[in-house]
Amino acid sequence: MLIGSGFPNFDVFPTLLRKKTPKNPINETHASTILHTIFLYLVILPFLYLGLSAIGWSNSWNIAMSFSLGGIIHVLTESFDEKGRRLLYPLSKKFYGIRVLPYDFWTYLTDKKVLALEGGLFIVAVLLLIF
Amino acid sequence: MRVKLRKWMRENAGYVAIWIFMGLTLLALVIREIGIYTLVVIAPFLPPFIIAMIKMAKELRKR
Repeated sequence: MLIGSGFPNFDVFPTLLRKKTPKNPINETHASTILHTIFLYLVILPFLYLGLSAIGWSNSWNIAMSFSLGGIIHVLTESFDEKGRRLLYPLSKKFYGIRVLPYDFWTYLTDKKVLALEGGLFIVAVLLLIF
Repeated sequence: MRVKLRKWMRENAGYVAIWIFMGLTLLALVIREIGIYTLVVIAPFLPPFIIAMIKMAKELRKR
């Protein structure tokens, strides 16, 4: 699940390698590719399950489900920022979401309501990992 | 918005400390849960994370 939840962020590379910063961070490649769609993780799920089963991994269904669930939770959680995400891809290329959080990384890190939200998620994660 | 990062971090030390505390605590709990496999989980994401932080610091100086 941890790998799956980090997987969508591999489309950050064009942003990291760019020479010029776009005036509006919302226009950058990050979070605009297929990696940030629910569709991809629904497609990956059966293939990952079959692939892992073929090489004899036990719990292949649990692993495939965890990976896909991690990716989907990532996309859904990020749809709360002002960019939104392509939740209905490939039916629609529009960005959807409840746009209450900032998108730009620096603004995100320094926003007080983000810290409150992340603090809440942190407490939930600590409770889950301890008990 | 141009930001002098060191000055900002000094002025907001508590804020920075909370983020670092949350990150390190979760890292410790994940290590406690899955041990050495933590490396497998975080290794692919470390290079882009480090590059992103360096790039963000550069861009904040330029803005």
